[in-house]
Amino acid sequence: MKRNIRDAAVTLAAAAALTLLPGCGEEAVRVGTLRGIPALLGPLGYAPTASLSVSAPVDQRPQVEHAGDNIRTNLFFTTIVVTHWERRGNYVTNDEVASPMAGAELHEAMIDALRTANVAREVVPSGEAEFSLETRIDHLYATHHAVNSGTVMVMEGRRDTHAAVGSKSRQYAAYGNVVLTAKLVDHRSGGARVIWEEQLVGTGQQPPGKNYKAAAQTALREAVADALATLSVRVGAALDRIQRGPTGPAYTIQGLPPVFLIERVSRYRSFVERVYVDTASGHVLRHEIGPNADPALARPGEWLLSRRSPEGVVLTPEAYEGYARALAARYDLRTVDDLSRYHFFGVRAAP
Amino acid sequence: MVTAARLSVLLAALLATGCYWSHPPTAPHGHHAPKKAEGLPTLTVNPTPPRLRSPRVIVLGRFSTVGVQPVGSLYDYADYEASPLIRTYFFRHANLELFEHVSDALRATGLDVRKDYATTGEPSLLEGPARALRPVIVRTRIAALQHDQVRTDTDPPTDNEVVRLVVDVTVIEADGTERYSARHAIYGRVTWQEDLDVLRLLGLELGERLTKDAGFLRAIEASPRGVS
Repeated sequence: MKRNIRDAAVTLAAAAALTLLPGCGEEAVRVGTLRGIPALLGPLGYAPTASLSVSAPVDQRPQVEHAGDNIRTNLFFTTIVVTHWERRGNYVTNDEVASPMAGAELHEAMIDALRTANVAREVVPSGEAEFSLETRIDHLYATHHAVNSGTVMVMEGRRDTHAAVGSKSRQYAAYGNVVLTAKLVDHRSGGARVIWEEQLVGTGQQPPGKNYKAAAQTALREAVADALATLSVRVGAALDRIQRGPTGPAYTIQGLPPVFLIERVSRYRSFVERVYVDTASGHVLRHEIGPNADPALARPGEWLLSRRSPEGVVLTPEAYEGYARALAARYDLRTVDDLSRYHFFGVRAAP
Repeated sequence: MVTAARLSVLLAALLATGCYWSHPPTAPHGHHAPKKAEGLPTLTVNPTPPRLRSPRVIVLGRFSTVGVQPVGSLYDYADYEASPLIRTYFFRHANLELFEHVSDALRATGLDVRKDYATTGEPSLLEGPARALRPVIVRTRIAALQHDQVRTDTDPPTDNEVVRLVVDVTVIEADGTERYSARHAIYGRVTWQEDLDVLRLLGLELGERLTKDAGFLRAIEASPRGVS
């Protein structure tokens, strides 16, 4: 009798251990924070003229991103000799793991990212400014999928009891996702005119690991940093379009420039290649490859006549048009499918 | 006596642990599990797109997206140990890839399509020279995008690329007046091949679908070439 109870206890201990091993157990994880998110982009320009007020984001995440979700037991049964379980599903961060202070921390990180990118002359959290940025948090969570199962079978022999155990599990990467709706409002004429509105996405990923909550937190911080970099680029581009952006008032040139700039984006949009060409001779003066702040700068691989002067100043659309017309006498420039730039096809063939 | 003792301990364990059935998802958060890849329509590209013309320049705004990661997964329904869901995939700029290929599909019909990379087709940010062209603006928002690889449990198994795309397309005038608004959904498959660019096929399919949509064609004032 004593031995049988001991055997049964051994069986239970094995089952309990196996249940914990494949990932059912909770690990000690710090409370999430979105403080100290690094600004991924340095200054986008050097002469911004606008003032920008950035209000705190409005949190409109769905309930599941506040309450979170856990991997659930799909099947559990136990008989005299067999105990079997299956757990599968999606882990989704809750407020505690993502951050209990998401709105306030995101607001702080947003101001920091916009200031570091030098998008406006001044970026203030509240108060009067020429432009205001309003944001809404549509999604902010990290997730990963998980599958595991196990079986314990206990067989009693004449002299002893044997336990056969088997478990299967699979680990998947953790992904961070942030979706913000951002709106830029123009107050220069006294009213409030929306000049730009867009949904911005930030993503991050972490490899599968045992401490899946910590991986989720890291992926989420990556996603926030990515979303804020995109926000800086988009706000900068919108202000540039009305000539109040990071590069300041647009530039006007007359006649044939001594040097012009062509550029193309790398296959995965991570880098931009810039070539400075001597107008008279067609010789390459400088060739540089650097990180690309805006993945949506252009189609990868296509050479375009840059909208910037060799000094880095954005040209007015009219100045660009004049600049391109002057260059077209010697170089093959064509409107292909870009609204605001010419494609560059090299030196024009001799007639 | 022995069995009774074990039974009582196991019963206690059962009650303590909890025994229940539930139906949790078998796909990543927000995804659909593509179980019947073999029943989906095959994505194809028409080598001879319709010839269209329009007096209007069409500005195609950069596609915005609310699509999240993972973008898709590898499922093996024929041979698996723990789950048919073998791994998950991350791809950052799928919205931009689709933007390029939809533009290609529309341009292949002969329409004058210009891509606005800087904005999603924001009329208030249209520059002077572009506004002077009197364009119609096409704005596209990706509501859902999923790209999976699926091995079926058929005999023999087949390897498939399976895609699901849901987009909201709006056509507006440069003053913001709306001319067209519709949701398009594409759910299809293509047999796996080395180096197959599925997002290209998907973008071309969406472009082709737009060129067959009478409402869209009316909004961009397009008609078949040769018809006045």
